[in-house]
Amino acid sequence: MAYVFQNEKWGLLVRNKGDNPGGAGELRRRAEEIFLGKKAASFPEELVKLPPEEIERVFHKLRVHQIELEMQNEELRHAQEELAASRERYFTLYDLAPVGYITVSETGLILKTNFSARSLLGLVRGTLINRPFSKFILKEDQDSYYRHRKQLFETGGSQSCELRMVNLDGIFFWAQLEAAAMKDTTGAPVSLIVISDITEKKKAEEVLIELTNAKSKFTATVSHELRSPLATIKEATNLVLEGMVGPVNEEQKDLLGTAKENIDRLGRLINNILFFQKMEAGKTEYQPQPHDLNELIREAHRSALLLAGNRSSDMVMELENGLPVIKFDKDKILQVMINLLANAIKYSERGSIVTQTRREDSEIHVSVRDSGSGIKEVYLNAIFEPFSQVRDNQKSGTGLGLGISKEIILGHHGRIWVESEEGKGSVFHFTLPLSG
Amino acid sequence: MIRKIMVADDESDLLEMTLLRLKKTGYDAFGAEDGREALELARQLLPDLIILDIYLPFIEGDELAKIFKKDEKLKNIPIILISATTQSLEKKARECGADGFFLKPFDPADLVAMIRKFVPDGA
Repeated sequence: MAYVFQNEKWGLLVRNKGDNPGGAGELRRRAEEIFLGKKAASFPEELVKLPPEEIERVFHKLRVHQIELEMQNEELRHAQEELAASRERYFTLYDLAPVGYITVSETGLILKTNFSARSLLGLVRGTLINRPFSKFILKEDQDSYYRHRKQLFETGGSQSCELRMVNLDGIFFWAQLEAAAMKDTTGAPVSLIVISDITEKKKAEEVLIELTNAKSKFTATVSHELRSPLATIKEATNLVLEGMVGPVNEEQKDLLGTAKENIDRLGRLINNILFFQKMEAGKTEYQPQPHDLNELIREAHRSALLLAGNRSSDMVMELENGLPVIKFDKDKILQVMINLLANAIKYSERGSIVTQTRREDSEIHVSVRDSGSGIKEVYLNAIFEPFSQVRDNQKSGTGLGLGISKEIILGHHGRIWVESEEGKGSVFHFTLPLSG
Repeated sequence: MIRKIMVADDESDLLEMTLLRLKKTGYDAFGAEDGREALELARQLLPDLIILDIYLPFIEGDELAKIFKKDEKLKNIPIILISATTQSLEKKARECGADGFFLKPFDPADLVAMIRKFVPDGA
């Protein structure tokens, strides 16, 4: 049956009940039926009886209807083309997607697949429909699959997992499955699985792990090779310096003292590089023990005095009394303090270097102030990045010290930052929490 | 009574330095350059303290320490483990039953201080 509605502007909008592409033809037939029907029998006579204006009006109406029908035909044809195009788009999107799409029933049977899925599973001829999906999963990984599937249907939330699959040719591959729970047209629960081949990615991961291991081994070897001769040089120097192999005059003491400082410097450098490498590998370990922070700062100052040389009077400590004992890794925090003090000495030619400790709420706040040339505002953040050497006077150093200091402080759940004014000086701050 | 200390390190230069320092401090010091030599020397000498580097040819320091701790005659001798690498030095020391550990390059004063803890001065 066809329903005809008048559209105010153009013509007819034909709505067909039922999928009948020949609907326009149907209309015509019906029109003819009516025309040739009972009413038609009396029509010619009536037609003759009609005045000319009437006849003209009837013809006009007929003509209009004809045009309306033609336009409706056009619309139908257009709608059909749209439908075809839509189907085409759907085909492209679904069937030709670069990842596999598989619809699996609640009981684990494959209901629908796209090209990529069929290709991944190795299908050349025939169909995958109604085959159990689990058949394609490696036995050892089936547990994981079932677990995820159970969760998918129970929680309704999408699931994702990586597991090993085997295709129809018996070839193994690593796949990433992402599944969403849906209901099909009958309301039955199904899972839509997106499947992609991640064999390449897994291979790359393996290579990365191997490389990291090789790198660690290399570092351990290098550290040993560098530290052993350094230990020997240090011992030999110390033995002479301490007068254990004969008296030492002032000049000799001086020279040997310089040698000893530089040995220590080299030792710190090696430590920094190794620590940095550990940082990169994500393997830093801290041994927090209860310590007195002020005591540690005094120790750091004693070490830094060697670097300060004749500027020792510039080194000032303003340590708040009665600071609570907190837990931290003594060696690492000592390293941070020496780093900050060494930097202050290196980058300020004169003026005092003041270290302060204060308790503030739930943390202890340490600051090191110098009156050097200051740091440009744009560099204030970058200065904590490894290998950055943003201070303009290009003094020697690996640029690792602050990067490592930051890592250590963050590893203790503290904060580290710098305030600086060009020409006035800088203040480096760090905090350590009171608990843990 | 002069105390005997045995040091095992495959770095012969460093071994020489360490032995010299120990002698100058008033101990009787003996050295071995590999695990096998160290084992033999320890059994012969029955020293009052043993210092072992982890990386020794033939038998590694921590393995050696385990052997010593099981040996009837040697199990009571304090052992200090030394190494040029930090990697789990503390862990290794604990696992093999060593009584102390030290990282190279060490401050000679620190090493002597630790030695004195186990073996009071000789001369």
